[in-house]
Amino acid sequence: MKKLLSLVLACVMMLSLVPAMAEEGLPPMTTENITLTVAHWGQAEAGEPEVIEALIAQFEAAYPNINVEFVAIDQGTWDQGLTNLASEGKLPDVFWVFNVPNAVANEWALDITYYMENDPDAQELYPAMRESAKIDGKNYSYPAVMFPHMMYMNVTLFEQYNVELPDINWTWEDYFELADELSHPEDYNFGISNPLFTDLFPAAYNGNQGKFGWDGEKYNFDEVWINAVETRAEMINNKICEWMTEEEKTNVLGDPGAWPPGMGRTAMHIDWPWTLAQFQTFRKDETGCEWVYYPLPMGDGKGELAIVDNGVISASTEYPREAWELSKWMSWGPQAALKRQETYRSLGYAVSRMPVVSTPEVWQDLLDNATEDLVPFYRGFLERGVNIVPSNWPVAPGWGTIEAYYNSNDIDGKILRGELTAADVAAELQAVADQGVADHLKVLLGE
Amino acid sequence: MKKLRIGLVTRREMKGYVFLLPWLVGFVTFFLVPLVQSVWYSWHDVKVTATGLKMTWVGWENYRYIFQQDTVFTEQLTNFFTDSVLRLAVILVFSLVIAMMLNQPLKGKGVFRTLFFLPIIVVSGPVLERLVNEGATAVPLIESYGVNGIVEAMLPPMLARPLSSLFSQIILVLWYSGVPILIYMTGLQKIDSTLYEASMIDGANGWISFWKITLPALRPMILINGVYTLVFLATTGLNEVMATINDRMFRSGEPGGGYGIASSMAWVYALSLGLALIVLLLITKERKGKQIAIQKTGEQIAIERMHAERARNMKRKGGKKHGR
Repeated sequence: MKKLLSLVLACVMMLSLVPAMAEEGLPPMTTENITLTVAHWGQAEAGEPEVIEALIAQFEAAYPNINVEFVAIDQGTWDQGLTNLASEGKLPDVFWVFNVPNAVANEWALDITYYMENDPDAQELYPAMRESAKIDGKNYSYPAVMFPHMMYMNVTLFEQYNVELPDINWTWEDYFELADELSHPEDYNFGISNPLFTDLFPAAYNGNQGKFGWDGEKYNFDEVWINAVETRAEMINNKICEWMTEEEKTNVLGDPGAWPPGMGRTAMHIDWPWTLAQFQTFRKDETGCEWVYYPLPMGDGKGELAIVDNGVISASTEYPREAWELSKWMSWGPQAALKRQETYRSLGYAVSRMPVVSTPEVWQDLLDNATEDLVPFYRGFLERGVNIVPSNWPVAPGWGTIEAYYNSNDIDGKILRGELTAADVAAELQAVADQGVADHLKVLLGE
Repeated sequence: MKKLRIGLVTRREMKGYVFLLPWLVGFVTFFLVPLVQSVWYSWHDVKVTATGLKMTWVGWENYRYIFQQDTVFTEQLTNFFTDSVLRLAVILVFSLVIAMMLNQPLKGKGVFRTLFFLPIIVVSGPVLERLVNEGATAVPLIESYGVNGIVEAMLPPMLARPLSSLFSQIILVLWYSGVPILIYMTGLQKIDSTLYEASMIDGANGWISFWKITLPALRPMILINGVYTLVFLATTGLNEVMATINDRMFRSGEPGGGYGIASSMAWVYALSLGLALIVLLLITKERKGKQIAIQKTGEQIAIERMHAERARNMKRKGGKKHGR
């Protein structure tokens, strides 16, 4: 009954969208017979080819005068593939890119600010998706699909230490309190693992900010970053966060390359949807542990960082309006999300690529069809009003500079070993980041 | 019709060119134009846009950027050459030892030869990369006994880094020895065995024979192996410099990226490699007056046979005379 209801709901919504789009904001679609080309990666993943096929069929059914051709590019050499196509003047009308600034610098990406501002469907995108992806105040890319961070809650460990699972409206403070209670390093059981606080705290506490505090214009190595990096060090040094050495892994788990979270050694593990399948199947069978999946805890800023794949409309397309529409029907639009979910379900696969729109129907569809262990996660998206901040590294200018500086100077490592305090290095990092952004923009905008 | 007469030397030269022809055709068809283009690109800011190639003349700016602003490339280039010195030495010595062992009259010699050559065939780029990532190219004992830590504590960073790098990929380095072993074996089989017999009669032991006969005879092979190994190390998919050049080609939106910078990097790399090969050539060059004719060519063998036959005939004739 539920399935039928959601199917009807989806159909009604899809039908209602077509006239709405033509009427509001955007110019009408062409009635000429045309062909558009599109390129997405992920074709080696189970279910993705079928999803693409279904999405194309859905678009062609809505616009019978438009023929859509899928351009296959090898994912391992994606940039090379695009460069080859560009050199032949054959870039697809719509394609995904790993690095948006490069696409802009190469003059591959069309300025889509007009469409982003005037398409009512684009207003369904999480606000930070539109705002923090701007380059020099303009939108050149659209978010296609996302991989949100999830909290893998090991129910078995919660029960073992008599700790109750939290409410889905939990905060980072709740998380650290629970971590403390659940950490038993003497048993080699830990409260948390994968401490990505420098990635996650700017969004959680400052709202629309990505990693290193990218806000769409500049990076911010402020108090939030200092707190994130110092908390990380504290959690690891106090053995609340799993950080087992190879020797410990050999002695306790019998293998120096063992992965403690997958062996049921951490109570709250941060990961992404692409790891779900193994936890729901063989990890569960091997360890005998039960997991449920939660949304991330919240901070005052109510933002949450997610890994986002980005797409662009080709600067050389003859049909920008139609290409924009195709991008929506192929990836980011509510109708695309519903079709993707439906196709995955029909094939018996879990949905790993999540929608980038906050449209309640889309998330309700996921919740209605979720397995029991995933209900808290999807409820989080529906009920908590979180703003999803996209991963800034494929979009933000200056990322390469700051990342290279940060890693080559082993900033996290030095703070972890107490060789450096975060406050000491924040100003220096800020200066490097500012310079990186300025230099990159100079190249990007040809100043 | 007049018959075209071709001299022996010309005929030999022509044979050489015939053997060279496939490579020459391939070079002219596939490499010549990109080679010249890459020089041209290195003087430009190049963008492959959606509507075609856009080039802006920048002169030597890309080269200036590489040496004055780019910290990654020059460091990787220096690391490559310091690492190569050590690796080259290890590969050349290891393959010589193995080649000498395989040249002994062993049972199942062919199997051992195949075994040493097999990694070259089996381990292709992606497989090799996977093995390196899995840590399969390091000796676990080296890590578990903290050898790298000791090296880093005892030696200055300039020496410690290449040594640690060598230890961490020692198996990989030994894998690269397949072709050098074959080349050495060819050289070893060409050494006239009578030289060893003569030296033994003169009282030389194996050690002296190695230094006085084997090694000088293998000098040209050492050069060939040196050139082969250095070029192999320089062009393998695991080479960081190559990876950087490849990566920069497609980062035209970033400072230090694009076809222009990548082309100038490629030329700096190629010229440095050329210089290194010249140095190798000078090191392994035979000094005048020290040349020892211990390797026999086909002609020499034929001449020797001829002399031997003459001597035998003379002896026979002489014997008959004496008999009279």
